[in-house]
Amino acid sequence: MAVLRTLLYLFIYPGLLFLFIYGTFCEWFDRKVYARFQNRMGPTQTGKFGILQPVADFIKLLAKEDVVPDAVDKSLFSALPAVGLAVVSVAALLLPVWNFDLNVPGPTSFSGDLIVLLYLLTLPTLIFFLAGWSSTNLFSTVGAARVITMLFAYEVPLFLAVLSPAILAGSWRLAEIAAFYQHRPLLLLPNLIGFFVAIIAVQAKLERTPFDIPHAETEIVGGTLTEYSGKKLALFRLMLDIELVVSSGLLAAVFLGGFPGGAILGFINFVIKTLFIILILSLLKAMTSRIRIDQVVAFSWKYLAPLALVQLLIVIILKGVLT
Amino acid sequence: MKIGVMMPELLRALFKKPATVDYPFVRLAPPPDFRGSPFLKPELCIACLACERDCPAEAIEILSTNEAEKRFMMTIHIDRCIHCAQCVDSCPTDAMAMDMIFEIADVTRLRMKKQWEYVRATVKIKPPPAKPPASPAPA
Repeated sequence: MAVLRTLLYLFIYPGLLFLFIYGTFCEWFDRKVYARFQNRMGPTQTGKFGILQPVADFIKLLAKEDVVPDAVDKSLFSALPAVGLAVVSVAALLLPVWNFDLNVPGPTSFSGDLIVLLYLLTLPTLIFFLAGWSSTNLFSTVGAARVITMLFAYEVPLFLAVLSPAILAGSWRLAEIAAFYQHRPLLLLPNLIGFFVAIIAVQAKLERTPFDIPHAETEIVGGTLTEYSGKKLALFRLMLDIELVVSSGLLAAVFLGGFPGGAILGFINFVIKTLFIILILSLLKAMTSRIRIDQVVAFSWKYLAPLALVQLLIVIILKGVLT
Repeated sequence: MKIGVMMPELLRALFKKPATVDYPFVRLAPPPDFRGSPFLKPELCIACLACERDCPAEAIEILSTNEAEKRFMMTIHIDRCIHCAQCVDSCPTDAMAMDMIFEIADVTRLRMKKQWEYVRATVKIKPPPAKPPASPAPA
């Protein structure tokens, strides 16, 4: 019975099937909102309001020819999409939506899961780097170098920004952080700077528009994913969708007071809060145009990292005042 | 672009009607003077070959198929046509006109031609563009 439950947990909810459905829904929401920001219609035909368009795109990519170039390391090249998908799916299991109960903690809720989640969200970047590097294509290699350069720019501000609410809550466990802010919602306000920094860093992590330098279509074709096609590309795109869900879920858990109210109400909270974060991310995407890699690094270290440090300082002082 | 200008604009666009339409299912009518592809009204053509001569893309071809019956065949090669409407301007009898169809892509250029076979018409040539007469014309 326990095995069956674990399998259900892994494959149906909140595992692969749910993440697939919710990830594609979030992609549809992002595309639709982005289109409406630009006075376009967005997907309209596949399903009601085009809601099945990302699924249709996924199936289309599955059916397409899967080309593996001769010069690549074949096993690495083929393994990376699956590994990336596995990594982000595992990261999704750590969100405090499915294991919110502090008295009966699920197997994926433990002290320090915030660190593990941040680590698991770093891995997709490394996977993109490896994917670009192992493609042995000039465009992919340039893209891979840019991926890793950008990682050094946004990762430190993101960690600092996400860790400061945790310091205020005095816990490294997502469920406890969320519970702390549910009891004291006013304490969310001092974290606004951190929220701002984290939103921008997540935008960079997901390689969305102001930071879409690693796959800048106008200069380096497809960037890291130039050589990927067919099923592998489909898996990579699904991975990006799920990464979007997980990172917005992380921000909602840490900065927006988590998902209170048990299983059903908590799930509704999860949907509303993640969609709110995705809306902000789409607004940022529609508002900006691509910047250069040196501008990203300069911006991150000149503004984002100091802002995150200020946030940390505020949190430490506040903690001293409160206790 | 300043964020303070951009953000209200974007948020307003979120609640406005989209500027685009659901294209293959909803089609906007082309503007009134739209130049589609040229077509022939065979009952007006006097086979003067003015269009064939003036066509800058050499897209019009008029052949005589029967000398005795004065039968001609006109072929318009849409794949060569540059949609300049010079043939419409050159035609002395208004036998050429432009349609409003803008989706003329095809799978092969061999299919992109229009043909008419007809007997040469005997209509009057249209008068030259009216100039204000210097003196009253004789009745």
